[in-house]
Amino acid sequence: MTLRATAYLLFTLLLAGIFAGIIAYYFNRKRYERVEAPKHRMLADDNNLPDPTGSRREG
Amino acid sequence: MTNGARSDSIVRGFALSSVFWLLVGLVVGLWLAAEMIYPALNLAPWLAFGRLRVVHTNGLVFGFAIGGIFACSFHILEKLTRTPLVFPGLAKAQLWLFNIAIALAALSLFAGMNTSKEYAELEWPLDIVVVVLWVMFAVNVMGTLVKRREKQMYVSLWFLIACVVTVAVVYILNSLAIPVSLTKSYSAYAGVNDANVQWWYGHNAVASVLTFPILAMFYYFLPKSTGLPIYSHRLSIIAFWSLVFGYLWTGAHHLMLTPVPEWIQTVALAFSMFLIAPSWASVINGFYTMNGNWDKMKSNYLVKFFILGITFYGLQTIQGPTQAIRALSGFLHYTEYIPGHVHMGTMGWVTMIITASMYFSMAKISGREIHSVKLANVHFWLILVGQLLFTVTLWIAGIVQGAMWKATNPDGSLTYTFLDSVAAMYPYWTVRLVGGLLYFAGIAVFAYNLYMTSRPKPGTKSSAAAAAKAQAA
Repeated sequence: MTLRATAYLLFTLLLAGIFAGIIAYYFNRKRYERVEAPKHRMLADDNNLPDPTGSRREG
Repeated sequence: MTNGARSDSIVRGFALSSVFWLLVGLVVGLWLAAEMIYPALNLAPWLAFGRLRVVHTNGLVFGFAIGGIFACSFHILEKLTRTPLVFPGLAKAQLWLFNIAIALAALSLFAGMNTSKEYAELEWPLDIVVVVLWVMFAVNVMGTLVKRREKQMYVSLWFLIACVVTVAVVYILNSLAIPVSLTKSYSAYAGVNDANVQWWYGHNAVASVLTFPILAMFYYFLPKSTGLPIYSHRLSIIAFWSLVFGYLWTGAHHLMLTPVPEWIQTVALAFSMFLIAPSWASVINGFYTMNGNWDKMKSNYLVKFFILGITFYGLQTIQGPTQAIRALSGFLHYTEYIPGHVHMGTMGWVTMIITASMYFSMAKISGREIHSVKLANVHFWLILVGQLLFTVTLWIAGIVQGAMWKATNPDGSLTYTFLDSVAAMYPYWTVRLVGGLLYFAGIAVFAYNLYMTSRPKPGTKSSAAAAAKAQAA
């Protein structure tokens, strides 16, 4: 196997490893509550956003 | 005017601009459909088919879809980060530059200035304007994300980041060219490399513009309009990373059975099949979100847009990979089946989600209910029937066309001439025009309904300011 072919193989394995790591991270039972929290928080009222200028924001 | 009110007016401006370009793009599309049946309408050079087609595609992808993406992205961004846009003035300038750029793009394409690269036809001065526009958008998106008050990012924000990054990468790399005059340039790549880069861009324009931000809207507006949390946030995150991981490898499936190296075609085919999984993860997430609440399809006018939209996305993402299979590609490529496939995605998935998202966001920022639910329902049924008539007809036409091109006599000679296959298309092209007219009627109803909804509610600060301005004038 040439150096270039080995590099391609290692790069592909690295990408696959990162991808598998992402799945393992998000599907870890310990993190379930934390990972699912944003879907509930996004439903909360968002009509009055804070305004950096200090004035109140409308709808 | 507060930052919040200012960004509301920017969202409104992008939404109404987007709808204007949608109407223009569809009128051009109808003219093109009519030209297929009445060739006398091919009024060269300005209204020749070759020029009009690119005005149609660019007007709808860059004018309608990207205008709608800007509008809904700013709305989603503010709500999910609980932070006003960091640079509202920059966003306002972006709105003006966006409309100027689309108008110049349409004029230059009408005039025949064209790089000949699909979905990247604009000549280099306009490419630079597009890049400036995108940088303005990226600065506001990234700046607002950095300043966000919500620590954890909901999946829609991930899709917005992917849109910002991938559009920049694929657009700039594919548009690299050597200018020879103000209106003419030649690609920096040659031969097969040029084709490969072009379709790497072409397919990822579909991903970056017509998938990532539309999924961001779907994941945001379906829960917001129903009050139901998305079925699984972690599934949506895995779908996101899988799409990002897989999409960038699939471009060469547009070049099956061509001189592009066979291994590149095979990699593209394999990743196209891989993409079915993350695409359907979003479809399943949408369906399961409605589990036990399917009555909302009848009681909530927006739900059917989102559910039918994600259903068409699901169908689209099964149909697309199957077209990458060599045997099917050899039969269907270059036939009417392909525009049939594309239009299910654009007229079904993309337009259903963007128009429903605009109804929701416009009602929210104008502080009133939608002008007419009845008209929204008329809009829904007209675009659904129009789209189905259009796309199913083209699929059948494509199969007929492919079969006629491939048919041979016992001695090996062709059974049909090319002109026989053209003549056979006339009934299908007529039905396509009828479908297009129905669809256009639906969009005209939508434009009226959205405009009426977008007017500030009487008694609000915005309407009082508008009244005072009118009185002063």
